[in-house]
Amino acid sequence: MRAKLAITAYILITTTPLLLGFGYSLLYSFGYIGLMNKGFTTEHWLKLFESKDAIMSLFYSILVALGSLITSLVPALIMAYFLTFGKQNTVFKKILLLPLFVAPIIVGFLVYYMLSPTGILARIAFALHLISSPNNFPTLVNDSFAFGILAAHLFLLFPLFTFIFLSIAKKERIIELKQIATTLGTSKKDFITKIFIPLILKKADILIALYGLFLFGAYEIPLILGKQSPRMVSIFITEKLTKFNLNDIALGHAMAVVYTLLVFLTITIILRKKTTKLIPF
Amino acid sequence: MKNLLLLIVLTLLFSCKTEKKEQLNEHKSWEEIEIATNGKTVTWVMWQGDLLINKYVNEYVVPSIKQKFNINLKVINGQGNELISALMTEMEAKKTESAFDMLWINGETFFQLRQINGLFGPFTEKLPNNQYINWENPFINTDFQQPVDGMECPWGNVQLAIIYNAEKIPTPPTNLENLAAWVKENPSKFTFPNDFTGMTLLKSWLIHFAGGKDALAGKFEEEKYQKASKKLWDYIKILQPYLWKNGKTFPNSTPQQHQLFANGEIWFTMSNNDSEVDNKIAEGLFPPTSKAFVFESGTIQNSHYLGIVNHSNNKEAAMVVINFLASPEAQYEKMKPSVWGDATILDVKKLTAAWQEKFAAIPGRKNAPNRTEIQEKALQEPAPEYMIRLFEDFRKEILEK
Repeated sequence: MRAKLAITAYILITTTPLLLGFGYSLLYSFGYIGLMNKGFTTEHWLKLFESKDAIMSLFYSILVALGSLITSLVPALIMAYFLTFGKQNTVFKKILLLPLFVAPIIVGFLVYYMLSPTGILARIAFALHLISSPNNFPTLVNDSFAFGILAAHLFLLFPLFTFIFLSIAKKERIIELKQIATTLGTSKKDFITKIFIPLILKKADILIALYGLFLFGAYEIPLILGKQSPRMVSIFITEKLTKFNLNDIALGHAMAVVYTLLVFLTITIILRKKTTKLIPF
Repeated sequence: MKNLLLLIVLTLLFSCKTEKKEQLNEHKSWEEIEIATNGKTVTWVMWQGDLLINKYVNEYVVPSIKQKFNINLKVINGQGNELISALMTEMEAKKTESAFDMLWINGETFFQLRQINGLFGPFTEKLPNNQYINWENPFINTDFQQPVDGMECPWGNVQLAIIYNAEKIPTPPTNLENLAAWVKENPSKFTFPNDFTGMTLLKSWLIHFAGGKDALAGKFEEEKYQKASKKLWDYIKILQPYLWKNGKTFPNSTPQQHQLFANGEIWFTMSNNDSEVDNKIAEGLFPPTSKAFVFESGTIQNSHYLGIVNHSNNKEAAMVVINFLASPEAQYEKMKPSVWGDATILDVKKLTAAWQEKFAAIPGRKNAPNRTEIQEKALQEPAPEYMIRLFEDFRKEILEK
């Protein structure tokens, strides 16, 4: 009975609003509902697929998500390796969790004030005569390569992944594993590339994929640090839903449907694996 | 599962209120309206992004309304598109009592509200202070080429002005030719926000490229737009490599542009309120050497208005509040540069001699441009479709290329 109640509560709190929202967007995108709609139409969907802006937004979001994952995973793996096999430092491990307490919007502003042409780094470089004017500081925010976004995501995710990898290493008794591998003649390089990295990534693959989805839908950081074109899918949807042209609202709903379906599809693939793997430590 | 569905249906049923829309009695006198609205609460949605405006509303309007009419004025933040989204959601859900009663709007929102039939009215004829409003002024009786028709009450009048730091730029470029030359000589020091204010600048330039002052008057015309916008995009493409961030991105909002100007990253900012330069200097955000000007080819002048939500349950109380905001007393207070500096929508000549004297004695502007001088360069807002097209095409022609 309690289990049923818990499941009902879960469905009411999470699944129901999600399904209602998805259904609303779907109906809106096909013109069934909405003050500006006049009945069933596929016009908005055709417009969406013909829109270079929309397609670019989807690909840009995927690229930013993948880029952010890679730039966070690589240093996290290196850090986890050294912390596992180096001198144990419990204070440092606690400090690792600090960035998790900072809201993404705050991180966005911090990175902006750090990397913008009038930001802290530019001022330091100017004071040290490394640049002749703060404006000569390279463009690191609102830039074409999403450097600012990657830096902000690195700040948020690198410590988190390090923490997760350390926990996996402990659970999987990596230290003992290395001793056995070394005894059997495995070189340090082979241990890192063929045992340590694959093992950690395999154990954390579901979490990494879920964070990839989180990055795919990121909003505040790309809004502050990203370019206006191309823009993340979340910003595309918000602009269509809230900007000047009321006839574009249905287009925003169509994109929301595409976004939700992509996320559902990815989660379905992920969940084909055992759900117990969701918590790797 | 059946129980779960029943629970959802019941929740939805009980969450839908069924209050009836407030019915207005056409024959009610104003005195009767004031008596009937005693003790009511009016929710006013307004943009709260300016310290001085907030101060005027919270420290002058709210207590005055309470004291004079015993109406509780609840001010909440919101503007334009957020507001439209919220109202559309209410209307789509067939909600008969809105969470909002009164709105501070401009022409673009007025256009959207008319599209969704979200405004109550006409109501301005009912307001006693309507007699003083300068309805003969085309910048007041027409909003984005749409006749106001009593569906909104003017509250203030402003003109787009370009703000610069006179210490860095003793002689600012006041026409588009000089601006292009200046931007090339001073790379990354000029940009405009990708928001309502930035689009207002582009509309001013669009009118210039269309042939000047009345070239885009009347309804939207595709051919006119195509010709003028091509010239506009060509001009911006000339500027683009020399704009802030090489014109690859633009500030998201006017406050962001103000910040960039304040920290010296760019040397120009702009405001839809021609007196804002004085306000921002007083706030300590802009350097005291900041000044403002209007391009020789002109800039858009428009009025901002107050509307009443069609499915509000406090229409009469909202009318009482709006009548006060359009009163000589509230308009005079608002026009003081130290308070807000927003130009009045009243025809001062229609006021009593005492009020005329008071308005005449309002201290002059300091660094903001002279209102009479810039009036000659005032351009009327073109039809709202120009704004919609400009915003979409700015993305296609400039941002995506």
